[in-house]
Amino acid sequence: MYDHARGGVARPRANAARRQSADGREVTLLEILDRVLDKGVVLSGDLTLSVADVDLIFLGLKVMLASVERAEALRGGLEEKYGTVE
Amino acid sequence: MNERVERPGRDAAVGGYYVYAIVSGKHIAEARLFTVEDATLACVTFSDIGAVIRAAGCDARLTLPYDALRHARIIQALMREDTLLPVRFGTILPNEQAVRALLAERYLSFKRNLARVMNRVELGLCVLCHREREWSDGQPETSGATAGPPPGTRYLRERAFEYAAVERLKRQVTAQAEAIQRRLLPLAVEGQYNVLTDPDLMVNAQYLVERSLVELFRSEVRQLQADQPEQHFFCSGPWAPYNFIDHELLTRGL
Repeated sequence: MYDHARGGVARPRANAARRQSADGREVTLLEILDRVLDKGVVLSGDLTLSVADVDLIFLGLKVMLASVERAEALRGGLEEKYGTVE
Repeated sequence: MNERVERPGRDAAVGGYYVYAIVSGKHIAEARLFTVEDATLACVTFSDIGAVIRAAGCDARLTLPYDALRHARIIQALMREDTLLPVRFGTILPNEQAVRALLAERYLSFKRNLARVMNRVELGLCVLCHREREWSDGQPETSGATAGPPPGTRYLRERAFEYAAVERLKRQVTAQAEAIQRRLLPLAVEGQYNVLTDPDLMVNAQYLVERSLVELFRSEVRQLQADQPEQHFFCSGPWAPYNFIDHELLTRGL
């Protein structure tokens, strides 16, 4: 790209702009996920999530995430100790 | 009390109701189902507030990041037209009675929070700076393997230098953040910031801004960028007021 103001090739400035734009996109994506996953009114309930074919479970929609295997291991341990867990 | 429920779909009983937001304005008056970002939504109401919901059906299983981004898009579309309290991603209630009971139980909290953010939006500000040089400033020179203190002493001394460098940087960045606050807070209703949550992220701030002042706020950020070209200022939003909701609504489930 020809930079008319400088009368030369504006590669460094273009690179900086591209980098800033890429940084901006990353920042925006992180800001979206940070808000959606970690902020907002907490009501109640559980749900099952999947990330790249790995099942995850939100426990009580709070901050803790655990794998389904871990949750089921915990459940197994509780069942062994206290009987069937509903 | 004016209680009215628009039934969002026959399959709601299977997967429950996915809740997006608590509202008190335009969407309360929606007489029928409405479509946002290809999602068919409805509003379950209690008195003068409501919950924007979607029949979860077979979608009770959610995938990251796809469904999180879809959730964000729907919240963004809703907040363009209405003041709302965004609900945490993945909230599914079993039926409309549960939704209404929740609105009733926490009615005063919802009203207070909606009043706090009425006609206001959240703007985010990230100030990035690449600081390899600053982080390494003050590091003791690593001498050869010959003379010098024993390894344990050398390790502790290096850690002390690192700690001092981090503390020095935090003080410097906090001073910069406070200078930014002095420029931006007059244009906002509320504001908060953290420093150095990541080595490159000098300042991460959020502001609650009147809708009518968003462009003025952005203009001031552009001026800050012009004044400090060695740093990168990213102003994001407008967002729903994720960071300006009372703590009790952020932590307390039913």
